[in-house]
Amino acid sequence: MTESVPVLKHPMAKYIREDRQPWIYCSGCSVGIVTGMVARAIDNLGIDFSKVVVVSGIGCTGRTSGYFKTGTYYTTHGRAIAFAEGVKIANPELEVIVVSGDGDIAAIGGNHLIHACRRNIDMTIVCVNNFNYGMTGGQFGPTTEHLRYTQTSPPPIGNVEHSFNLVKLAASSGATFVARWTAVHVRRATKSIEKGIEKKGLSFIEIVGACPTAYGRMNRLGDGVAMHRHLLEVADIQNGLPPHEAELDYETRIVCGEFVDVEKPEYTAVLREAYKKLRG
Amino acid sequence: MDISFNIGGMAGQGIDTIGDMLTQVFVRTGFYTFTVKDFESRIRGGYNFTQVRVSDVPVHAPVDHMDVIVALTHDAVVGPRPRLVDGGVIIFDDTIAFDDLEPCHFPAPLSRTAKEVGGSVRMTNAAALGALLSVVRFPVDLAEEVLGHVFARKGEEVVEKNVLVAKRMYEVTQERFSGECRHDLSTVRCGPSTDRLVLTGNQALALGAIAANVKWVSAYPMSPSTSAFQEVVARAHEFRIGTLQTEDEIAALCMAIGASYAGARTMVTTSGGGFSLMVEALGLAGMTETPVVIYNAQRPGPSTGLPTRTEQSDLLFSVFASQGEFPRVVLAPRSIRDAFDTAVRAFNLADRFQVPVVILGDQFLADSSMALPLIDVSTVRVDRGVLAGDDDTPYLRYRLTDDGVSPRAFPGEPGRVVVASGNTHLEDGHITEDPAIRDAMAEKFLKKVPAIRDALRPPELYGSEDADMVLVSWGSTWGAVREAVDLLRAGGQSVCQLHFTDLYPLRTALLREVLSGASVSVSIEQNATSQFAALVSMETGLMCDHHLNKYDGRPMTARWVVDRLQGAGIA
Repeated sequence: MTESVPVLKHPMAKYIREDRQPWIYCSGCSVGIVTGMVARAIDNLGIDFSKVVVVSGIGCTGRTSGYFKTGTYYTTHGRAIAFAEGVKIANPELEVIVVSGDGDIAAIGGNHLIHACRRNIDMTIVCVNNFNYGMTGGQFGPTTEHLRYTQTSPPPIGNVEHSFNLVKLAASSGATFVARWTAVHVRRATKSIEKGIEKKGLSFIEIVGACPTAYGRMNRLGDGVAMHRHLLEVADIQNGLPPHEAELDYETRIVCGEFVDVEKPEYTAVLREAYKKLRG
Repeated sequence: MDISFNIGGMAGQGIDTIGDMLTQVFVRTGFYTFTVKDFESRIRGGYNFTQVRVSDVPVHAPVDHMDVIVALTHDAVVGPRPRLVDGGVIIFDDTIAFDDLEPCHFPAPLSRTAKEVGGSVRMTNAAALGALLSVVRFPVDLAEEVLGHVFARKGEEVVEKNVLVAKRMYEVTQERFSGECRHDLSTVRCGPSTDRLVLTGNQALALGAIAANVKWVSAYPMSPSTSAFQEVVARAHEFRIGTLQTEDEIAALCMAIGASYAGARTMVTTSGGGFSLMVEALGLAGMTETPVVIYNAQRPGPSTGLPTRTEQSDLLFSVFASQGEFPRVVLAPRSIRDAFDTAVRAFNLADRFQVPVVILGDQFLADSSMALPLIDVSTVRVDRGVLAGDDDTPYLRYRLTDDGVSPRAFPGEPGRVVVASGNTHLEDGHITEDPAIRDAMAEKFLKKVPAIRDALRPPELYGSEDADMVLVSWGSTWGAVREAVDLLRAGGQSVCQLHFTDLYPLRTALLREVLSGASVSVSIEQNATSQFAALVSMETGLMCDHHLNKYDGRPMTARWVVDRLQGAGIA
C-alpha cells in the first residue's frame, strides 16, 4: 500500500483551468510547452490577469485558450486574429493574446494575419508551427516543407508546394515585434512573449514545435523527445538578424531570435489621440 | 399635385446635383418628395437618371411615367421619350445635336447661359434647375426665396452667381419655351409639409444605429450598402464609434463579434455577396449567443449580379444561412423612416435575446431619399438585455435559465471569467461533448424563439380584412403596393394589403386570418421565386393563389402592380 503524499501545485496552476485537465495533447507535443510559456510570461510581467483575453482559432493549438482561467474565445477556423482585433479596439484596456497554429493563422487566416500586422493593432500573436494540420490527422499546410509527406501529400511524391516563412511574412506585413524560437527555447521564448505583450503594437512570435503523432511519424522524424532534441540541435540563434535572412530548414538550420523590434504608431493609440484632438 | 421630374445623362455630369437641388427647392417650399437614383455600375459615362417625384401628400415609391425631363446627353433625350406623358417636356442643352423636334422638346441655352451669366459652364446645373422650374411655372418669388439656401454650400460668391444663372434661365425659358406643359404651378403657395429632413434609406438606417448607441461598425465596401458605413464613419468621432474597414467581410463580422464580446453594440454593413462570406461567422454569433446586427442591402444576384440595382432575393438565404440550427431575427424595413426604427429595434432584439439580427434592405431603399419629419431621438430606448448582477457567482456565461437567455458579462470585469466557444459548450463556456448538455444547449436556443416572435411586429393590414383580394408584401415594396391598393380601390375593387416588416420568426395569427378569409391572395415580391410566399407555406401550410414577381432590378411602382394584376386577369 502506498502512502498518499501531498502534491505540490504547479506554479502556473493559478492561471490554468485545472478542471479542464488532463490536456488533450498527445505525448511529445509542443503545444503544452507553449501554453506554459504564455502563462509564465503573464506571471513574470505581473499584469492583471482579469484584463487578459486569450483568443484562438481551431486546431490543436487553438485549444489553448480554453485552458486559461480568464476571458477566452475559441472562435472559428482562421478567424482568431480578426476577432481579437474587434476585442482590442472595442476595449483597449484588455491585453489580447492570440494563440493558434500555423494552419489556422497562415492558411485560412492568412489574410487576417497580414492585415492585422499592417494595421499594427496592439496584440500578441503566438503561432505554434508544427508544419501540418494536426487536429485533422496530419494534412499539409502553408508551412509544410517541400516534398514532405502528409496525409494529403502522401509518398511517393510528397508536398508539391513550398512553405511560408512566417517570420518574413509577419515582418514584411508590418509587425513591430517579430521573433522565432523553438519549443525547447522555453526561457528565451518566454522572454520574447513578455516583450511582445509589453510592446505597444502587433507582436508575432513563432514557436517551431513538434507533432510526433502525425508529421513526425509520416516523415520518420522520431518521437517527441527525438524531435525536440533535433530542434535544439539545428537551432541557430541570431538575434537582430534581418528578418529576410531568418531561414527555416527543418533538417539543417532553424534561425531563431528576435528579428524585428521597431516603433510604429499603434492603431488604438492613434485613434485615441485623434479623438482627443477633435474634442479639443 | 404629383409630378415626376427626371434628370438623365452620363455618370459624372451632375445628375445627382440637379436632382438634389430640385429636391431642396420643393422640400423647402413645403412639398413631399421621393427621389430614386437609377445608375449603372460605372463612375463615368453610361445612361443614368435621378427621378424626383413631388407631391402634396407623402409618397413612398417612384412612378414609371415622366412629366419633365432634363436630358444632359443625346441618349437621355431619346431613351425616355416613350415614358413621357402627354403634355410633358424634355429640356436639353441646345448644343446637343437633335433634330427630330416635337412640341415636347425644348432645346435650351443651358451651358451658354451658365457661361454668359455665371462665367462658367459648371453652372449649367443651376441653369437646368431654372429651366425646370420655369416650364412648370413654379412661382418665381417662391423659387427666389429658396435658391440661396439651395446653393448655400458653394460659398457666397458662387451662390450669387448660381442664383443669377438660375433666374436668367427661368426668364429665358418663359420667353422661348413654346410647348405646353400639363403642369402649371403658378398658383401654388407653400405646400402642407413642414418636413425638413431629407434622408436616404442608408442614412436613416445609420442614424438609427447611432441613436441606438452602436459602438462598433466594421465593413468591407460593397454597393449598395457602402453609404450606410460611410454615414457612420463620418460621425464616428462625434459619437465615439469604432469603425474599421476590413480586409474582407469575413473579418468584418468576426471583428464585430469580438467587439460585441468585449461589450460594444455592433453592426456590420454589406450586400448579399459580402453576407455570403459572413455566413461562417454568423454561425459563431449564433453558437456563442453574441448579439450582432447585420445590415444586408440586397442587390440582384447571384454572384456580382447587378451591383447598382435592387432585389429582394436574399430572404430565404438570410433565414437559413449557416450550418446548424440557432435562433435569429430577420427584419426588412418598409420605408426610409422605418429604416431608422428598424435599426433601433434590431439592436434591442439582438441584445435582449443574444442573437444575430439581419436587416434586409435593398438598393431601392438604400439609395432613394425623401423628406421626413424630424426624428425625436429622445424617444429611442436602449435595451441591453439581461446583464449579470452581483449574485451571479460563479459567473456562468451560458447559465441554463427558464427563458433560454443567460445574463451577459464582459471580459475584464474582475472576478468574472467570460468564456465563449464556437464548440458546443457547458454553462461556463468550456467545450463539451456530453450528450445531455448538447440537448440542454439546443433546447436553450429553442426556448428563445416564442419570446422573440412575440417581441416582433405583427404584419400591417391596409384596408379591410374582409376585402375579396389580399396583396401580401414585405420590406421596401410597401409604398408601391400600398399605392396600388389605393388605385384599385379607387376603381371599385375590394382589396387590402398585408405587409410584413418582421419576417423571421414569422408571426402567423393575422396571416392565417386574412389569408383564409380572402377569396384571392397574391404575393408580390421583388424576386423570381416568391421567397416570402414559400416561407409562409413553410410556417403555416397556406398558399398564395397568385404570385407577382419583379426581378429586372428596377424598383417596383404601383402602376406595375396594377398592370400585372389586370394583365393576369386577377384584378
